Amino acid sequence: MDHTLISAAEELPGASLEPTPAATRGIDLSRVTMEFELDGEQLRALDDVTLHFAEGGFHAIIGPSGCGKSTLLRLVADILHPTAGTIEVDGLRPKAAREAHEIGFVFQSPTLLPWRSVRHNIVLPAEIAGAHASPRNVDDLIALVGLKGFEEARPAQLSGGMQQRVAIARALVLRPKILLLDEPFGALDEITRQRMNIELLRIWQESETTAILVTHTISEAVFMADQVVVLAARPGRVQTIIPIDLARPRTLSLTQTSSFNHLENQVRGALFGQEV
Amino acid sequence: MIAVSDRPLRSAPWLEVARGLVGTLAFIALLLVLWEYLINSFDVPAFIMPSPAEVLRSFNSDHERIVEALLFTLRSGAIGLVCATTLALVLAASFAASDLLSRAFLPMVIFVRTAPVLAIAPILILIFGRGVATSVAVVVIVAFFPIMVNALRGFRTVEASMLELMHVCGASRGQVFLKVRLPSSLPFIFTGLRAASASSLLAVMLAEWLSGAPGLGTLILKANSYRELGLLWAAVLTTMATAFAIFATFAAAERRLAKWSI
Amino acid sequence: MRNKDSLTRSLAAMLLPLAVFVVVTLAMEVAQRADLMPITIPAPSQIVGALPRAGGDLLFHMQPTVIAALSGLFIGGVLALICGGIAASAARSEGPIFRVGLLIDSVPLIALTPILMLWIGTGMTARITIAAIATFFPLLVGSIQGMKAADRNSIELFHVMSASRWQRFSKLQLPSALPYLFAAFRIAAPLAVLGALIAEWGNAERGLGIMMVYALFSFDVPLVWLTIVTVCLLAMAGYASVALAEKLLVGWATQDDLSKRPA
Repeated sequence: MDHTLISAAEELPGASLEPTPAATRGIDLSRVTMEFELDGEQLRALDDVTLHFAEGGFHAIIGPSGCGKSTLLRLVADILHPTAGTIEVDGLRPKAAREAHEIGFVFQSPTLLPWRSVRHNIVLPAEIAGAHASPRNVDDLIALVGLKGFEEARPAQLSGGMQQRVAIARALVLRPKILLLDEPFGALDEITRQRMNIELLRIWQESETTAILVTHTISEAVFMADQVVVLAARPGRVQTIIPIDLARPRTLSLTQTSSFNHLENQVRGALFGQEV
Repeated sequence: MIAVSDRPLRSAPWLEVARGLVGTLAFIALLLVLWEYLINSFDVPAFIMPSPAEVLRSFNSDHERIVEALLFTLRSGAIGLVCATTLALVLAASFAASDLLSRAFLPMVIFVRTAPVLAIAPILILIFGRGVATSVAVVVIVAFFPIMVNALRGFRTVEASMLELMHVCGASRGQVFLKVRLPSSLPFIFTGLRAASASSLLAVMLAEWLSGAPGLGTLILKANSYRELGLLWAAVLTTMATAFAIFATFAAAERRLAKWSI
Repeated sequence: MRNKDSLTRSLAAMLLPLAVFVVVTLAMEVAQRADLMPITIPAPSQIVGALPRAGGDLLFHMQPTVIAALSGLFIGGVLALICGGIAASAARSEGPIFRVGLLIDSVPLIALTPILMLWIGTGMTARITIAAIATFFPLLVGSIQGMKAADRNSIELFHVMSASRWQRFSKLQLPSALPYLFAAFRIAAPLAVLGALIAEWGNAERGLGIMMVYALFSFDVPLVWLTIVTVCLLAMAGYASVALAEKLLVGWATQDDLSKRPA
């Protein structure tokens, strides 16, 4: 695989030529609260969360189960609606951003249609958008996610990792500005996961999107992100935000360094508090 | 890279069908020979079981009556099955689409499903008279439930994340239905159809039994009451073969679909 | 507190369908009185009204039907359990047993009834046999599934704990089979009633099926409806008693219920 790409993350925010004011670029959550009703009880999944995700960055969200990290992604994707507070994606409300096809979503399960080939699964969003969309060239996309030669395969013929590649390609087909990843490799084994993470970084840099990754693996969060948002549970709230100033492109040898270990410990400390 | 899972190569489907057919025919021939032998060697009286030769004779002399009755029965059954499927899919789709609708009517559907719906046949004869309409109506009430229940199960087993994905893509309800819900529930619908088709033949013949419409059911009843034993057995065997053929057809379609959709 | 909550919740869930039922019943009543309905669809009050004059007959005809259905269900159940046990203990026999069951099931009962009656007469034995045949296949499927229900891990666990055969059966295999058996009996109970009914339609002097046909021939519309409602209630009572026993005995098993919406 090709790992010799430039580190695009730091350069992207300034490189934008669009007329939107700089303050509204990226993703902004301000004072977002989300409540569910479960078995007749009010449940506060997110409590007064204010966050900024810089445009073009790779952001990781980590926290114990029940901290509302998946809820947060679904709020940004307009799958759920906040009880209070506002969310803006490049100055747009999530609904508008979604309707403008600016959001790509990858779930923990590949969520592919079993009767469609790889190619036809990837073009599904373009098919739904119809004439409004200008999809990427599917062959380029298939090459980007490393599925050349499997265009006509059915999902059942692919391994879990390859199915997730299809899901990533599908999320990118309409050139979204943001890519939301909900534990995308959570169901894969550790070895495949490492490999997929490196590839995901490469794909993200090529596709020039803002990525938000929800994970519950500390090393994964540190390895992937420019900043790690640590959430606390019951109610879900921001514990702390840890910037990750490691150089890109990131390689496996990075995980052996002391600065990597130090950042891991920092995240661990934020997650477990006095227990550590 | 990870290799494509290697599936064993399978012989051509027609070859498989031909092999199965030959096997079945051989089995049937063996049964016939055994049957003839037993009847002759133990001197079984005809009312218990006529010999195959006798049954073949009535196949030969009465084949017009049998074929006519069979076609009549099949036609009523087919019309009924089409009506039932249409009705079942429309209702299942509405239940899947509307929470209020399913909360109001689904408990009743489940309640009625526990009743032996075939028992309602006399009422349908009262309402629809002694013709094809009754047969069709009986098939509809019998076939409706399995198809509806399975279709609804299919419509509902769509992964939540698939629906979220469609939402993120901005899909309309119609698109979600056509591109996701309907294709992913086809195997379920065919499971329902298979179950329904098996009971449909029984339903048509029962309707004919009670209404006197000129199908296989009536033919069996008449042959029985006039003690035309050869004809009775010929008609019963025709019924069994038909039931088996219908079942096998739908089961094959279901298997194909299940393979296609995994 | 939770329990009370779920109780009010399930009561509330009953309210809407109950309202629909009441509205439909009332609509039928009103439509019939306003002469909007054909004479073949009586008002609910007319159906109930037939009860005083036909109640005695109904009880008289109900008895053999109930006996035939219950005996048929019992015999079908015993046979299915034996076959399921054989299939479970000798894996090779499962395929053939299943196929024979399928063959019997795919023969329309109607085609079988006249021939069975030629063989064993038109009496109670024939009706019980037909009811048993009607129930056999679903019960067979349930018992085969049930016998195989204990998962491999648990079997290995029992092996590691060096449990005896009997312990494995009574503590693992039987409890894991019960949900499947109950599900099968739930389906089979109404089928037993239907089997008895078909046998009576074939030939009988006494039974709800015959009462129904007499009422049909004498065009006593409310009585036709009354007998059919009775048959349906009988079948539902069978279903409900199995479901109740299931709830009491294997309440821990989740059942596939369409009225529950996915989360």
